[in-house]
Amino acid sequence: MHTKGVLCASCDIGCALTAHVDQGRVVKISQSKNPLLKDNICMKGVYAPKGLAHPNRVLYPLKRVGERGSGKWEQVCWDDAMADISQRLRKIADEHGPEALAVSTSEWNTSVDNGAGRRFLNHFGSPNWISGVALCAGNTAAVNRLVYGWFPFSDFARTKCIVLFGHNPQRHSWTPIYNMIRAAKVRGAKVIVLDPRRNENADIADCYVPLRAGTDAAMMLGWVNVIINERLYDEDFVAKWCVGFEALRKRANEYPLERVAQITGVDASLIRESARMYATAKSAAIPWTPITDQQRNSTSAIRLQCILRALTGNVDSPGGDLFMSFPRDLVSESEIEAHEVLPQAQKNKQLGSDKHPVFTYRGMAALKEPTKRVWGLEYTNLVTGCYMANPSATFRAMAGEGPYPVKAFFVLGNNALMSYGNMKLIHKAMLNQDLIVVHEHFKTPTAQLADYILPGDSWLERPQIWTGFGWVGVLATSEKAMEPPGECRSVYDFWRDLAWRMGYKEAFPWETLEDILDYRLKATGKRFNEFAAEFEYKLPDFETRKYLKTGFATPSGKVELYSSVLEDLGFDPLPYFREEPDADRKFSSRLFTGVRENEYFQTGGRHIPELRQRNPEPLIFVNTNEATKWNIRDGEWVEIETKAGKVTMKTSIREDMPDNLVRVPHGWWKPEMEQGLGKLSGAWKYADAQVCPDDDDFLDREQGLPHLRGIPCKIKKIAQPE
Amino acid sequence: MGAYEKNAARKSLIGRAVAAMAQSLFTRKETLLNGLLKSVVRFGVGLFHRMTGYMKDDIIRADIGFTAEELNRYQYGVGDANSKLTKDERKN
Repeated sequence: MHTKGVLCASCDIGCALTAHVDQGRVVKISQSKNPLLKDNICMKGVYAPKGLAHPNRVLYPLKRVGERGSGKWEQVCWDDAMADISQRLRKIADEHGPEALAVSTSEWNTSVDNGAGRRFLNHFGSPNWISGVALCAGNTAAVNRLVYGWFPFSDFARTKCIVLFGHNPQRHSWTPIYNMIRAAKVRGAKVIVLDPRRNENADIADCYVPLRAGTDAAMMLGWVNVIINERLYDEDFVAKWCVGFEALRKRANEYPLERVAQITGVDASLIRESARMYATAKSAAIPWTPITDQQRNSTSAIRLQCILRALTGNVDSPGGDLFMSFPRDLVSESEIEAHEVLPQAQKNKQLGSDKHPVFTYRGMAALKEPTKRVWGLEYTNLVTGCYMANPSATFRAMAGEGPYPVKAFFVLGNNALMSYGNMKLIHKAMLNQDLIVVHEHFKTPTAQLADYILPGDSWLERPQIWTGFGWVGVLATSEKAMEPPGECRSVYDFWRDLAWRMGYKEAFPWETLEDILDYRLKATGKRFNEFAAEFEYKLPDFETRKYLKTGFATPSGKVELYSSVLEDLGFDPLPYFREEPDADRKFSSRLFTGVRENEYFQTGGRHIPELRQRNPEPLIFVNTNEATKWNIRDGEWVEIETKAGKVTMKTSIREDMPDNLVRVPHGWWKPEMEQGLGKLSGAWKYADAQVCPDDDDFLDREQGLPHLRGIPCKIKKIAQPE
Repeated sequence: MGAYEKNAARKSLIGRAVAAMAQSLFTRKETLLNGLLKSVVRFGVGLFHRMTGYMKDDIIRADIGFTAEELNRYQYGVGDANSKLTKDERKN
């Protein structure tokens, strides 16, 4: 037996772990040998060897025979599959234009794209790339850039105060973040938790603020009101480095604490106390949270987090939120993506950029020159979340309801059908395709609708470089621990093969994954194997207050409290809170979704017996009052309905939930259930994407993302499903 | 060099030394220095864990693993890691 140092991709955090290898396969995953990293491990990583050895794992390319969704497949070889895919793609492009190809993926999951997917799209001519990061950190990166030109990462090691806007890292979920918060607490840092549910982190909070779901932007406007009017802001930093302060003051005064209290349901005195606790801390960090990514007021909420950092002088400052960068001695994914190759005329066709431009090429255009000035590159695809098409607009075009047809859909490491709002639309869109290619481990509901399922390798079966896409600043390496089973291949191999067949061989001179890794490391003078043998992590440069030398990568060179970019795009240049529209009275509760259980990551993991045993059914959380209102009891099956659709779940009564709020878990389907059209392994019964509407009332205006934190709903008791 | 410059140079030297030690904790190559550093850190972290129960977890403590035979049987139905079943025999 021997060991290898690996980076886990059971979720998207990338914990450093140790893989134990016996007879050519990984038999155990254990803690990192590094004493500083040994606690960063969760049950998902521990059970990965079992999960990836599941008998239903797809090991050979499968081609659909029969109608789409009929469940009839034939095994083919890679060569035949890729030949057919490239030929059909060429035909679609000839007929409809290259923009007729859309891709949905997440490089945080597939790990070894190395920028190849966007590089292919940019050479091919399609701007229509979408990802789950549109709802999770990717969009945050784009919005942060509008304010101060980069996306910071919290300095957990030095901060004196941590503010968690609904973010709830736990022992087996976002484990490194949970670890860092606990370590900060041991050091004496204060923790402020804002969450409608008294979550696990509220137990260690110095201040717990139980705001109503979806009202974070209003809460932060209240904080800004307190900080400005009580002069708790960093006057020196604001005077020298911010624009739009007086306009912001005027906007904040439209949100006196009485109004904020009425919106958020939080007493004015607690709003004031929490704002003061944050603003008077010697240093304070507001870590990224998915909660503000997924609201009707998401853009304002994210901007307000940036504004709070700026007002209190915690931007790129020790103990605050730090601007990391792409590692200097590495060719970044952003450079490999080659966005400069895509003609402007094609960039202009990016779906959704007209109505919801923030994270599209159009939204990021004004930042090109400032980013080049400060960071040395025009296109910096932080978190892979800049330069994305809008998901809803893309699915509408796929369904035949857009400005032009989209007829080819590639899905890599992403259960797209269940990963965005309005699942009915996505389903209609997929049924309207001429070509669907899915690169996957299993026959997910998305894969069941494909023309081709290509077998993907796993994080144990390939070498990898990990940098956090410019957000975290480290350069980490993962050693290949075993050979991929069957004919599983990496996403890099897929894109490179397709690129060569489509005539882009010159643009893809790296034949293998190892070749591109070597290329990216050329400045170190080492090839990947040598570099990985030496470096588990190459630490970033921790220089702070870089803006003193370079300014900020915004049009003004300063922190834009008043956003010139949003103003030029036709939006409110200041943050605001948009009230909930009147809802049908029958939907008298509110649900929030997007949350996943510790056992699973997004839509994955339900096939692993040991984890499924711990959490066998999708559970809603309601408190006793809510259960009484709907006449339901603990353990009973219910149907939750919104204007968008219905899902079936089991009830769990928990007193940490407030009245009128229902927690619906994300990503449920059951791999053991019947596959195929109409069934989709239980996705039509359990997937929360069905209850998430994406009409204008429920979309963030600037980004066009669905509101997942407070959707009007009702609950009905039903019989146990078969 | 004035007092300010000397202080700044000293801090810079200390900062570089700290950065070098931190980096040596994250290398895979075993040298005397990083072996020593890791031992010291391991001791300190271990002591802290024992005293406080920090990040204690039953699943992680259980040190769960499998055997190659078990996983091969699970995946392929047979004990041979290189076994490739025919199309009909596969559950696909």
